[in-house]
Amino acid sequence: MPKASSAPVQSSAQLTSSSSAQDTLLVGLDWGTNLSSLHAARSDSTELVVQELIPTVVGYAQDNVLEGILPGDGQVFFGRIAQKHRAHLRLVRPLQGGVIAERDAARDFARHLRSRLPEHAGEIRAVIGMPASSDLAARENARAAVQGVFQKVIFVPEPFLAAIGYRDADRLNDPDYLDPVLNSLYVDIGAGSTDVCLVQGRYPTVNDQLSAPFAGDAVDQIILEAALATYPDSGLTLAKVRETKEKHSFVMSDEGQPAAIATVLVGGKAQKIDLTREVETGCEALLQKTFEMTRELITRADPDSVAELLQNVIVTGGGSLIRGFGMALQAKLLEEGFESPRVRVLGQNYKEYVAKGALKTARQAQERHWQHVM
Amino acid sequence: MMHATIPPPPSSAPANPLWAKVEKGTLEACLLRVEGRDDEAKRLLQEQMPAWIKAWSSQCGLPRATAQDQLRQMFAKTEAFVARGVAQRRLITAELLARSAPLPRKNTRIAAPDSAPLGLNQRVALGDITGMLDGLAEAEREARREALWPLRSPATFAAASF
Repeated sequence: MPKASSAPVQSSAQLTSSSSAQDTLLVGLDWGTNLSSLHAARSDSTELVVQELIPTVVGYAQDNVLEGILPGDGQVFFGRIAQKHRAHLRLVRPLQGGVIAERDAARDFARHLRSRLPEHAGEIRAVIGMPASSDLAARENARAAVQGVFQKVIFVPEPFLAAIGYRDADRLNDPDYLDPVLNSLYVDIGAGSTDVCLVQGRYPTVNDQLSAPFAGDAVDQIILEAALATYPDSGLTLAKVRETKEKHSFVMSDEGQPAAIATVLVGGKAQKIDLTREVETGCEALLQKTFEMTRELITRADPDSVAELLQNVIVTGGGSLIRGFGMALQAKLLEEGFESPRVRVLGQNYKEYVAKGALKTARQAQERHWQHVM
Repeated sequence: MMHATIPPPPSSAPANPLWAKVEKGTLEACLLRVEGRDDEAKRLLQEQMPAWIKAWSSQCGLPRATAQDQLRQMFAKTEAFVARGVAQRRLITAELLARSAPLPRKNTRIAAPDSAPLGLNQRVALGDITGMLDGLAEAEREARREALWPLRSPATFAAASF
């Protein structure tokens, strides 16, 4: 264990009695590649003042937009509003693979997050989830993006925050409560990366985690390349492919599977093209990659813990919304010879757990943990 | 929140408690703006500083035009001082990052990180949030040490010994 600071210990919660902390706003943020989850509460209250899911996208008005087209003739839009007016905007996703890739857009998005918080005269402190695979440079980029937005920050790997947020600490003494993080394997399939980690009653160490830059965005690329090979003149874009995939993604096809039809405009005329096979190819590639990573981590676990671990394979993130994904992963583990695996799918609730865990962490953080972003 | 640790910009007038208060308030307002705390800056400028300025101007004994000129000069100097500070911070950050990883150019795409992830190197129970945060802080400190002085890190030293 690292040595604790000899400075007097005060947690954010304890600080509430002091005048400086009475007006501290605590923020829990899952800053995702596609979707961000923002939770906020005052340090002296358990009531959430903000709980919001915001698509992580910034839209900049194109030069030739006529007056009256965009709301308030604005120049910069965020989240769903940006998506809604995409035809007149240059859409920028500030993050790729869970880390900042477009610095100016990231800063604009961070300022937008600040605008979603209530008017607040005091300090704003944020615990921000980072991908398990993020390094020092990724943190520095995130820190630079939130300068002037939050006064103090702590960066914590997302799987840690998900575990904290998913666990109901108030019920640990309840004999009927099944602690979901006592012995489990988390698979988080985001847009930029797939992260798999063992959570066995403790925070995962570096050796308990695997991360690969192969996730939703890579699937989109596979589908697009395959589709353009079949329909070279279709004018398909990555955005259209993503839209089609989000509606029709699947693995383990069956006869009831609806066709993945994309409508594209060719020469101004609507044309329907069938992308079912391409979508399946992309999703199967993601399934295979996820299976290989899951298998690798299971073999790293203590053999005595594996039987119970196999009962708690939890798949989260946008990728988990692929139809049949959980069942398919379970079937693959079974085929591999693992004993009675059970795979559960949490879907996008994961983002809420990360933000919730971030807020819990903010409440328990000591003064020495907070980093100034000035 | 006043920034007591930041040295004030060079004073543009002889020592005077009221003048010092006006200077300090101006610096604080500039810093609040840099931090993005515009509402607090606005409150300071609109609700507190007018009274301080009025008190100083009524006691300074300077002609009105001279007093206004002195204020303008002080505002400009303070803004320049804060701007210099921001620029210095950027340069230092850039230097530190350049030693650890390539600094992304403004508004350009950044390659996915390929250096070591920052995570816990020791086991920490799930209920121990402060222990987890201590572990992460230690991992980050170690990564910074490694980035700045790679030859002095225990791992490199050990490897070099063989």
